[in-house]
Amino acid sequence: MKVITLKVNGHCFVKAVCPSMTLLEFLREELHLTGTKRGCDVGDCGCCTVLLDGKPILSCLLPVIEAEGCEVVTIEGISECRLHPVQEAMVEQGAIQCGFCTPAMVLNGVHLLGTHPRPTVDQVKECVSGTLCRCTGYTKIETAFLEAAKKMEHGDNP
Amino acid sequence: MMPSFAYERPRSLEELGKLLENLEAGSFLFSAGATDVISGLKSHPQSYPKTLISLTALSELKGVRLLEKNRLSIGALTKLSEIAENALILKQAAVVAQTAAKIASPQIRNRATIAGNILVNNRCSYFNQSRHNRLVHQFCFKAGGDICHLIPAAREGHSPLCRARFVSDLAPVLLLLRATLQLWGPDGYRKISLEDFYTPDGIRRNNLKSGEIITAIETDLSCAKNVTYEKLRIRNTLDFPSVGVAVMLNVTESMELAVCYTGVNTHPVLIKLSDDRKNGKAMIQAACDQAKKSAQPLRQDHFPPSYRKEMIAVLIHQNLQKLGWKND
Amino acid sequence: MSSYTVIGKPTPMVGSREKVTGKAKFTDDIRVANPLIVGLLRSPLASAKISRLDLSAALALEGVRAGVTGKDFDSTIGVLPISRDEPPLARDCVRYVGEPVAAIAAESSSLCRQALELIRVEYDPIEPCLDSRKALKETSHPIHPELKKPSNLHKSVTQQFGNLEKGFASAQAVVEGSFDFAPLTHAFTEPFATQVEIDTDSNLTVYSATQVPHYLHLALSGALQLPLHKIRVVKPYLGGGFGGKSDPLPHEIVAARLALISGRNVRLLLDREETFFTSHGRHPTQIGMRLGLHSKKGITALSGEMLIDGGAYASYGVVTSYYNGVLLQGPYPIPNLSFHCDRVYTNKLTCGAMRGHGGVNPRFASEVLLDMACEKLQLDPCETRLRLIHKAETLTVNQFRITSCGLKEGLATAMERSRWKEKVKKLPFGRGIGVACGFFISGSALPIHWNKIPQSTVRLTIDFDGAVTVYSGASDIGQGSDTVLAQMVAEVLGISLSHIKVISADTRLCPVDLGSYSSRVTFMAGNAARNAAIRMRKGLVAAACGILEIKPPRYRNPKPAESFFRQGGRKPDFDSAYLGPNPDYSDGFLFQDAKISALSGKAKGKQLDYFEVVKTAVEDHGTLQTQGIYLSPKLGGTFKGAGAGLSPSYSFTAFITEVTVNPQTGFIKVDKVTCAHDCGQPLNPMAVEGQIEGSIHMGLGQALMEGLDYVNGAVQNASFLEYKIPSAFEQPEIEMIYDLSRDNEGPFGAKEAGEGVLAPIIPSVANAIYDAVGIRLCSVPMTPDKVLAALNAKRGNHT
Repeated sequence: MKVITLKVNGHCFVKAVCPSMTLLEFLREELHLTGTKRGCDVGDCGCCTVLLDGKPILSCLLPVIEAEGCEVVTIEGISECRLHPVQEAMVEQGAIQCGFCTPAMVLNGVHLLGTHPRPTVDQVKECVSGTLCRCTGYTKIETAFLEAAKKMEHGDNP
Repeated sequence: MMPSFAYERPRSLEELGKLLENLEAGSFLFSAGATDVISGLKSHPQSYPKTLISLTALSELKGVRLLEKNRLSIGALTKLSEIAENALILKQAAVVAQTAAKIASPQIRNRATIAGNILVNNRCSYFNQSRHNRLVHQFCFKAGGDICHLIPAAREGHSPLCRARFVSDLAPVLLLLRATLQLWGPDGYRKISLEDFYTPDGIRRNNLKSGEIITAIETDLSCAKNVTYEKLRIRNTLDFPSVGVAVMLNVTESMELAVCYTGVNTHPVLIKLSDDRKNGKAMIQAACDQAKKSAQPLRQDHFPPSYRKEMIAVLIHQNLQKLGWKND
Repeated sequence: MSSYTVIGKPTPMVGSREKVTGKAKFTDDIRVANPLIVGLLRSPLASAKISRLDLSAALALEGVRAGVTGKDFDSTIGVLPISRDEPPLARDCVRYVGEPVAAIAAESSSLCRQALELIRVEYDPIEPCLDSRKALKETSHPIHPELKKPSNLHKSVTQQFGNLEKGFASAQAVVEGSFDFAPLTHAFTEPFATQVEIDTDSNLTVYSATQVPHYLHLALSGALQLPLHKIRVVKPYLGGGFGGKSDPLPHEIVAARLALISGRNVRLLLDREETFFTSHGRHPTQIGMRLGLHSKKGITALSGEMLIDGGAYASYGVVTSYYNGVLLQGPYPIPNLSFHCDRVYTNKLTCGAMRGHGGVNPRFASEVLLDMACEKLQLDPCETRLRLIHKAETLTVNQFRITSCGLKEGLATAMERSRWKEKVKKLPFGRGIGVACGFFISGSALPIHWNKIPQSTVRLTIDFDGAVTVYSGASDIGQGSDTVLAQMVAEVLGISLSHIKVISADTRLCPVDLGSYSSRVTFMAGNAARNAAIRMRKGLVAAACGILEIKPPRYRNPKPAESFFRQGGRKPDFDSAYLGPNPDYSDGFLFQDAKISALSGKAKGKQLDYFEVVKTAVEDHGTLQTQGIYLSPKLGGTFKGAGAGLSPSYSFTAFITEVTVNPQTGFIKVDKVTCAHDCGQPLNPMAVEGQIEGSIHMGLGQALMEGLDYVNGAVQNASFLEYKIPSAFEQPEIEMIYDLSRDNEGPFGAKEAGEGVLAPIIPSVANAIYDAVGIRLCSVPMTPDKVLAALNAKRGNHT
């Protein structure tokens, strides 16, 4: 066991962890942040995406110990009082069916619009392409990201 | 959950050196982006190290800079997403950035490093399996067993013993950029050209010695604008290349053509041709013929072997088209 | 224009805010107190006798609390009462690679894994049967000896209507082909998970990722020999099903058994590979089909021979066998039709229901053949189909009742939007356009369990606060069933969705509903919800009349739900009839924006507040409660198998698909699809679009890349990396047309939208490939290597 310090959704945690524990296990089983989903556990489906120092990564492939000193944002950290424009747009556009990939998609979208406020369709596709969705065919997710970009451009900032 | 292992994260190469003095060869595993390592460990628990050594804190392995003589140095820890967006690389060797930008998925590129892609483990439909699947078919050589399911005649001592295929996208491009690897090991630094780095065995894979790591990759920029890369995979994301081909075409007083393909054999296959008379058509045909002759695809991928073999020449031509070659 | 205020309006899904914030609890997100972790030991062999199975070393491990084997279960399970052949754990033999053999419950997952390694199993291998043709031959080792059959034939279905010989003789073109289809899996993103809570009286609460809580409830009761009232099944948020979660499954029974034995709560989560093993995917299929076409008479005859590989157990296989044939009867009349379908057992993963159940593969064959016949007769494939499509209010040759059909208009519009005429046969080499049509049931008219319990019951309550609670046993699996029920109630009662809470898929709280499969929920649960709401409205009207001091309205005798011919002996729920696009509830009131206004009589123009009316009604009656039911009308003929494929209504679909084929690599890029789907009244257009887009994704996956890869009975690509489902890059541009008819018996005129769309996209791609490069592909998926091989063969350049 090693003691690590990391920030999750703005809160600082000091925890003793086993080096073989992944960030996904840490979030779900230690912190009970179950919004981060375990779809395949081997880095294929992208449902376990979280932001590590602002960038989307796969939490199932990262030993939590590697996140020492880092800042992790999970879906639970995206909206406190009100929905983020990306979330809002996903709800409004019908970009959510079963919802299992949704937390990952939200984080993908939040990162995309943070780095590319006016994304092209190809950039949106690229951003979505690391997470598999079996319900929506991705169409409405892409529309939602483009809509959210428009909203944010008009001052609706998170 | 993975079984337990010890974890070290040295802060300098010196610290790493001291650490290695106390570790037995084979008892430890290096990790940087951890994507290939952890997904491998999860499906292959018998390869668990006693110690996982994270290289992520080694500042000596970071940074992208121009060197003298038109050479570029890329730190081993440079992430694929950083390479894809790095202004220097985009300007000097755009093909490296473009290739990195289409490896795996965005989330993986945010962790995976250039050295990790150069060292990415070879893949096979029998090796990249669960423990349960190994119990079904028996453990293959690469998984510590004594059989190759694809070449049943293979026996211990044969070379290559394992035919797991090479899947790095960056290696063929870097090979055409005449890359050199800067290595560090318990005995100090050494350099090795990428051309001499790989071995034809799917288990051993390369000439990295125990305890050795890549610290930087140096490429020659003189012909970088003349290199392109094309790959085939069924989906335009996630998948490893079923076949990938890099081509370098340099027409000056003479004509130089180099082809390197990946995803097919156990190692990247490099074909170099030059011709003073600039008979392009014949050279291209020769390159295609050599590629076809050298290709040894097996049933390890979504696409059947014969198809992958056939596609090498098609991708050579696609690259040439991108390079502005007019086939007439 | 309709006067609906909620129906037909794009409506964000109920629960989507929970999902988008990560608050929605899926099965494995629930935290039961101090659970034991359950793990399963699985067979590495496709076929073997279990000669020894010893759990003693595993059970002796500190922290291991319970273990079970096949001997701990007396009965077998299976979704169809007529074919329950699967033991929750293998008993004397194993029948596929991955079959669960034993299970352990331990204090932690690492202990559980250690314990599984300590189980000693010895097998006597038996030569496995892995080939569906060989499975038809006599064998000394049938996979199911208990059936006392000489071969591994599970089900054989033959039906014949009309006169085939005459039919083919009268055709101007007769075409035939052989087709084969790879085995598929649903590939939903949420893996299987089950958690069980047990109380001190051994009452079980089973949380499970299931589409069919009611069937699971029955299966648990049967397999555990526990009375139904001691079991409560709850479906939490569910991460996709597509048919894969529509059977009661072994791990669910095993988890519950371990909870009973240990007296402890248990938690079970299957990994992705186990999820592949457990899903009953689409049957690998071989089809030989023949079709006769006459330019004036239409399709004169069609005959099909299907061989479907069912894998180790029955699942929905009997139904699949029928659906392979009977779902050929639309969307065009076929007066002379015959089919023969054999379903065989093999030592592979069990196959069952997957989106478009049984109808998908034969649809490919028939639509490709129709294209070939049009080619032969030099007919335009779209124009021909336009002429052939069923008229509304007709009977098919095996007595399916086609109530509404808006496909003709749909296809015509799709032709315009896609500019079909300018493109077909006119695009440059490598680019092509193709068409295909299909149809599907809106719920099976015959229930799986032959009883008279309504197929759907929906209960409504309104308490003093005016909030409506909708109780339904239907499973929202992401398709939006909770939303559509809430919409219907909101529409009838004139309140906003925010006043409605849906409690669904909980067998303790909700009335019985057969579950979410066969595209039945919108139609059946929808009708029940609508009826419950109309009853509730009557109660509120009575209270309003009391406040207004007027006489309650005299309701017209509702017409029975007969649409255009016999309804049979059963009495429909009293308000089943579709009330038209401007619904008249014949009560003289308007319910809108939480106001109840009198439209006639001496109170005309007076407006009451909905909450005030509720308050008055509650003062008189206590909590207001109503319920509505749906029971399908009696349909169909009396011949053997007449019940298969009967549905109170059918949806219809047409696809016009444009592709680019790379003649060097064989890669197919689907550029654009134009989809016309007749789902009756689109209740929630956003959800309809989502179903269409999702079906296109899944259909293109089957068309272009998906397939399970078996080696010696083991699936070699049981992962999301190697089983290729399309990514965002492969999704084409989509144009949709979906407001095409009103069904007289559907709730607010609605029909299904979730499954029928999938089938025709696949042949539309094949037909577009033909238009692009002139090759006919008969093997699905149509991967680049197959395209290239066919192109090379055509070029006479065999390599």
